[in-house]
Amino acid sequence: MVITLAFLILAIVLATASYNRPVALVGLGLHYVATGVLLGEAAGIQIGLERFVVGAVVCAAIWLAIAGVPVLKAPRRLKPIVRANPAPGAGGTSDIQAPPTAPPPDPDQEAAEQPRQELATTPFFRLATIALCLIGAVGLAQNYPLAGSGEQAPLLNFAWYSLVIAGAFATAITRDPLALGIGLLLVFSGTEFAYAVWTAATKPNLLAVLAAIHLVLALLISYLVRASVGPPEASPEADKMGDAR
Amino acid sequence: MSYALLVFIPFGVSTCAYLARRARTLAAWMSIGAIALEVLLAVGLSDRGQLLGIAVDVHPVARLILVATLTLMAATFFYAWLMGRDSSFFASGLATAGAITASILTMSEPFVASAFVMLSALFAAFGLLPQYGSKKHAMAAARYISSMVMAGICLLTAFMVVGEFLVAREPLLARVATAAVVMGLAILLAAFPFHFWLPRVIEQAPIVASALLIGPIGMLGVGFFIATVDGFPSMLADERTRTLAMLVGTQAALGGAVLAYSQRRLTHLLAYSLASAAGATIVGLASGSILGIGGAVLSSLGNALSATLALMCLGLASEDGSAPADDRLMGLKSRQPFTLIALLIAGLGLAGLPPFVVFPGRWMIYEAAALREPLLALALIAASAILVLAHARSLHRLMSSAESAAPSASHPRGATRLILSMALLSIVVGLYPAPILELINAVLSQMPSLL
Repeated sequence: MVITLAFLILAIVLATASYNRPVALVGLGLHYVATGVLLGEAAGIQIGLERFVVGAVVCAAIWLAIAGVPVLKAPRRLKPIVRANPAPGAGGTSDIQAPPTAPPPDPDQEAAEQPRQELATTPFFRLATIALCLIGAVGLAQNYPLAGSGEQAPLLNFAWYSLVIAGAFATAITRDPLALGIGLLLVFSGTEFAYAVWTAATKPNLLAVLAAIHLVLALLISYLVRASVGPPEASPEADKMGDAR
Repeated sequence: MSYALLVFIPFGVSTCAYLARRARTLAAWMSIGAIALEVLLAVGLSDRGQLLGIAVDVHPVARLILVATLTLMAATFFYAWLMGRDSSFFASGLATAGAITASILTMSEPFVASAFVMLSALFAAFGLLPQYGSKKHAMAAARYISSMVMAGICLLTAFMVVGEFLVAREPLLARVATAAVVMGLAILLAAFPFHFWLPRVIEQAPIVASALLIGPIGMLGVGFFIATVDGFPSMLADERTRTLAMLVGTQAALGGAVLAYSQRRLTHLLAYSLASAAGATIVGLASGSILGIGGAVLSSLGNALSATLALMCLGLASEDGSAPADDRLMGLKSRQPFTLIALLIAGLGLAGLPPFVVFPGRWMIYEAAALREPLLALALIAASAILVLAHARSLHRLMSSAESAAPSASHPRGATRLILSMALLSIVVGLYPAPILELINAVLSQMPSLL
């Protein structure tokens, strides 16, 4: 169980600290494998199997969405959170001021439509914060052990606390839809883990509902990732056909 | 059999509506037909049975809320069809209806029901993303999805703790469970200060999708809370816990009202009015009395009706199906006088002013709060007065504004008739609430746990 737990920690670090989308997705997939193994031992083999299947489907759905989406670049230094200015020529600032042709846009409306820059979180900052999250999870697991009983209880409590805390951290510091979605999946996974260990519930209908939440969340994340990069580009042939019509 | 039909009809028709999304009229009428069938099935539903291995015990309040929710959804679908909006909305709306129904049927197992509440909120989020490349919709949706996952986790955690409480009988666990349920409900209803998702959703998302998130999901949250309190009376048995929960609701009502007063935009005013109204609903629910809970049910029905009406009015003044900027609303009195009247009724209704639909429920909440602590009732009345002032100021601005330079949006007459019917319903229920109150009291009197 200790090895599986180390595997889970690696998965959490990859899923929450990486700027590389495929690596983060691999981290998410590994987390499903690790929690599946842990739950298989603690609460029953069918729960473990359900985790593997759900993890495979969730990762496949997100993979299809992120294929072709540009990879995020990690910031090299801390930057203040500022609103991004649109490029000159696209209604943004430039050295030569064009005469106003329309009433000035509402700043609130404009701000809502502009994407905001990622919070200044360098990889070092992320790793250090995740380490702090894990230390916090150790403290909580020792002082407030909510789930499980017996010798393995501290490890299981650490597992679900670390999933919830690291997932919440990942959700809080990003505006990237994929990172946000992975954070939400980790938080939900942690809650589900605690419930499974606490009650040893193996009702198939309950497992199906919880699995449906994972899948719907994965579909929403995929949708958000695609929506955040713009409309699919039409091919030149299609444009020509449209003009001909 | 009818339980399974109630759950699977909306999911099945949702799939068909998605496949037929290019034939918008077909998708719309399939959806409206499915919802009408759902209402008929829900009215004639037997109280006990089995659904996929889960014991079903249909709670009387939940049945009432299910019928009201489905009726409101049918009206929203009809409006979406009239306005010619994105047809994929019907698929997400029907999936939401299926999950809401499943949640209401499984309330005897609150953990499963909480999971369905979360699922219904997530299905509703699909309506926020009508097209690729819409970054503003994506941002609003991301905020809403995060909030709903957190609300769902609060509810799931609460019922884990309730399970432990039933074994250990530790009073602290009951308090933790109550706190988690109230927090989950506050996020679902967007009560201040858990309203962070609402202003952006109303401003940026398609109107019909916002109406789906605010009305049906809010009513589901209220029904879920009542069924939970009935199933686990220990949650509100402690006097201090009840008072604390009522205080949380009162600060939400006051805080939301003060924020609403400071808003200049109509969409933000609407969002903060809802955040305040949700606070009053929480006070009624937390009172644990028939008077307060009855008021909360009536108030939540009224809030849902008023919010849907206000959003539909905004949709009529808009061109693209999302909430219009305020400059488009200028000169509304000359372009669309009926829309302005309906908007006035919806806004003042949300503020809890008589003789509109929210007032009778709000009055019952004031009474329940006064019985516990008169200061709470005074604070709620102050919140309502601030909201009335805010809406009156906004109305004055709309009435005295010059004609907008923006071209007038064309809209079907059917949509105007629909909003006028809803406005009339708001006034009729506000003036003569006795039949609905009798129904609610009859339902609540079957709950022995209430004070």
